[in-house]
Amino acid sequence: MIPEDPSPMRREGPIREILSSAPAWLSGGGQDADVVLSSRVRLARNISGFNFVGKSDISERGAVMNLVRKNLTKAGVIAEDDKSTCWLDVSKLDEFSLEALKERQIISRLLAKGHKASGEKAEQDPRAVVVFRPGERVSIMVNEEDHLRMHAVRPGLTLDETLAEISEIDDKVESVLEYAFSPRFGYLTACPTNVGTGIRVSVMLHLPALRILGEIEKVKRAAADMSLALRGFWGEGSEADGDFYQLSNQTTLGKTEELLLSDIQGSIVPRVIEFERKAREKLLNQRREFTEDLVYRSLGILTHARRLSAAEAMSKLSEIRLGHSLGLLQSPDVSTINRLLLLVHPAHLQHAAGRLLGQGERKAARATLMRETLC
Amino acid sequence: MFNGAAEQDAMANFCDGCDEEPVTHEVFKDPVTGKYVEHHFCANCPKAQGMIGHAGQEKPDNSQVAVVRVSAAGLGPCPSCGVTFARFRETGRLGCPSCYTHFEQVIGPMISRAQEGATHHVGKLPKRVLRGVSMTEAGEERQQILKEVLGQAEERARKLASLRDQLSAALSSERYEQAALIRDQIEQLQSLFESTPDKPRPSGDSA
Repeated sequence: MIPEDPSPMRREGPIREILSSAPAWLSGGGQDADVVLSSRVRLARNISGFNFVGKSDISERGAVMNLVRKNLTKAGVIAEDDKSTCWLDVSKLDEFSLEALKERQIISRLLAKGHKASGEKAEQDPRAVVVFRPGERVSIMVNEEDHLRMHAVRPGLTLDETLAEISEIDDKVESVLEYAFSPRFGYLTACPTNVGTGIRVSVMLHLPALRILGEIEKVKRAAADMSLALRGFWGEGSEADGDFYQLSNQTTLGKTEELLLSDIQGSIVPRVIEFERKAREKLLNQRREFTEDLVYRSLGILTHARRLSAAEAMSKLSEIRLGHSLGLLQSPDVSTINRLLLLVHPAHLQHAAGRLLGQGERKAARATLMRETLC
Repeated sequence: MFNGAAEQDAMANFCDGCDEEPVTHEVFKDPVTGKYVEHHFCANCPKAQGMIGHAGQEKPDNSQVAVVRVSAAGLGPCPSCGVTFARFRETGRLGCPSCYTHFEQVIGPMISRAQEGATHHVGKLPKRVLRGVSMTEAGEERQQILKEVLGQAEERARKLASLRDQLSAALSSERYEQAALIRDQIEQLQSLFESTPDKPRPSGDSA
């Protein structure tokens, strides 16, 4: 399998290094990891004295980007001799690398696409992402919708630590850069739906048993009653691939960060975890044959199929993850299943294959990857 | 540049009551005053209840029409970045930090509706400014810094009142952990207010 095309394997250093290991949030560890895949906290910030990104031209966006880069170093957020924290100029990355970063949830669709106005080329658009390695526990998008979109993410239900980590970085940045802030509206953001704390607190939940028993609607209603959003694996506007759902706050003003966090971690999440666990027990105790059939059939497909779409692979992986938590499967372990959830997507798949693949080839490569990993 | 006519057109596309739905009714007779007033409401807006619709009828003589729609047309574009209110409505994005001040009277209620009735920020405060406060003696300079972060006395009172409301709600529904968090925040704000000449009044008086 010697690649003749420009190979993903030959992509520049940092991307290759990033792709060579799984992010920490997929490790399968942490509290309540049977249901909670990860906890994520995002802060949106803008720098005082500049227009918001959508209203600024290339030179202003360039000035913001340079200012941020210089000050992240000055604040000690990026150490000068730090090889593990990497700054990536998004506009200089190729399609493959952008896709890979999106799959890892390090960059958003908007950052990948850029803000280019008519006549400007995407490669001139100043935008960047800072990735903290190893583990990718923290990443900072520069010139997305806001000047700074800072994320921290950890495996399991650990919102307190995740908030503490990103707040510490926020404090460091704030010691060298003046944020746009108003006494009434708090931290000012391009979209007023983020104004105030600029925070989005979210947990990624794995709810296969509730989906199988047709109870997801109840979770959706409970979330809506508390003004929380229930989104799919890829966030805003996405479907619930592989029975993964992101639960997050929708209001950002009038409550402290701790209170917004406690709305999620302290009340609804424990109830949903309990609800999913009860549903799993019910599947095992009252519908054992059905459940065993479902889990082993999914494992059978993953270990024997010769062509798999990403959606089918996600759905079958979800069911064997359920099987693992019910004690029906000892192997593969959860971290392997979680890692595969990432590897089934096109950029990661092509990286693993070592070459660029057409649509049809990807299905075959995906099936091969599953057999090689699971058999 | 700012295009007045274009802004008027864009304004007319959205309900004055909820800011979200497209307009279906344009001219109403106000049941209280009996005068014709021009509103732009969607079909289901509760604010349009009780007003008599003239949809499909000839518009009354212009001299009788008092234009009362809540609009930002009079505000013009943001002097700092040039974004118009119509543009904001179209994109949902403001252009710069000054837009929040320039459009405050119109976007304040919109933000409040989108944020479950919240009107004021009560969360994290810029650490840099707070350090400035702690290093500055009580007096004019300290006041100035406090105003920059926390606003005028009235604004500070509102923040405290909002937190106290949240505290009572948390206590009455036995959410004690949340109550403790809110109490911490109240204490933090109060300690900032201390030794300042224009202390906010207790929450009961601030409504």
